[in-house]
Amino acid sequence: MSQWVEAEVRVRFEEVDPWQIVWYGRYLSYFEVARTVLMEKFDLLADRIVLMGYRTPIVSLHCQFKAPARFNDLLRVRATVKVPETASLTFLFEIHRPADETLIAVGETTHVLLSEEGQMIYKFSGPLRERIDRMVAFCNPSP
Amino acid sequence: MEKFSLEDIQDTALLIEFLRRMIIASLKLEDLDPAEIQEGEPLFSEGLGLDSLDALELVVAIEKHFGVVIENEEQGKEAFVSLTAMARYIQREVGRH
Repeated sequence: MSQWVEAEVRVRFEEVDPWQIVWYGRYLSYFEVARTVLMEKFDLLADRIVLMGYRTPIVSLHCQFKAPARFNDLLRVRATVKVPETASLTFLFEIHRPADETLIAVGETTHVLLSEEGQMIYKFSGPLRERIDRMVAFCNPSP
Repeated sequence: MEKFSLEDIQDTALLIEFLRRMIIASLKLEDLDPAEIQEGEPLFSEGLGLDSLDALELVVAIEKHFGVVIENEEQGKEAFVSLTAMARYIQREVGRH
């Protein structure tokens, strides 16, 4: 079983489309709120990674929209990370609305590692690897 | 998939045959006939059309089968040009250890 971190998001008026539901692109920002909580816990926020000389762009993104969220809904966003088999990180997300126990969306983003010069890194190493290892171990505790 | 005997590493034809099967297995391209991967054809973009995540999978497969580590894109540029280039790279790097 994975360990998840959670964050709460309140749907703002500007995030709702003319159909009175959250516009689909907004869910990606909600995912990022939870991913930020997870990354910060292990000193892996984007600006910290930049200080280490790396960038971590997204190369793959999936989202399934299960039910619409509406203005002023309080949403719970969860994030975890999979055990990496290559030098990439895949985060999983879930968005729930606790008020009626509804699953709103599930998603996945995959990030690779680039050097400052924009060259892809094929192996995690050094202090970055140690932090990634700690985050992965937290999210995937041994049974 | 089966193991490659490092004693046969200088047999280029045998090595390329193995690399074809390794690429198909590690990238889950089972619908592809191994013979369709041409020896001199580019593996990325305009050739076989592999992408950056595929490169990471190949790096893991090459390390697992040959103990050869490709650290970054700079080294990968040489190794991933084509099947022939990959075989030559592995032959040279295995010889160094």
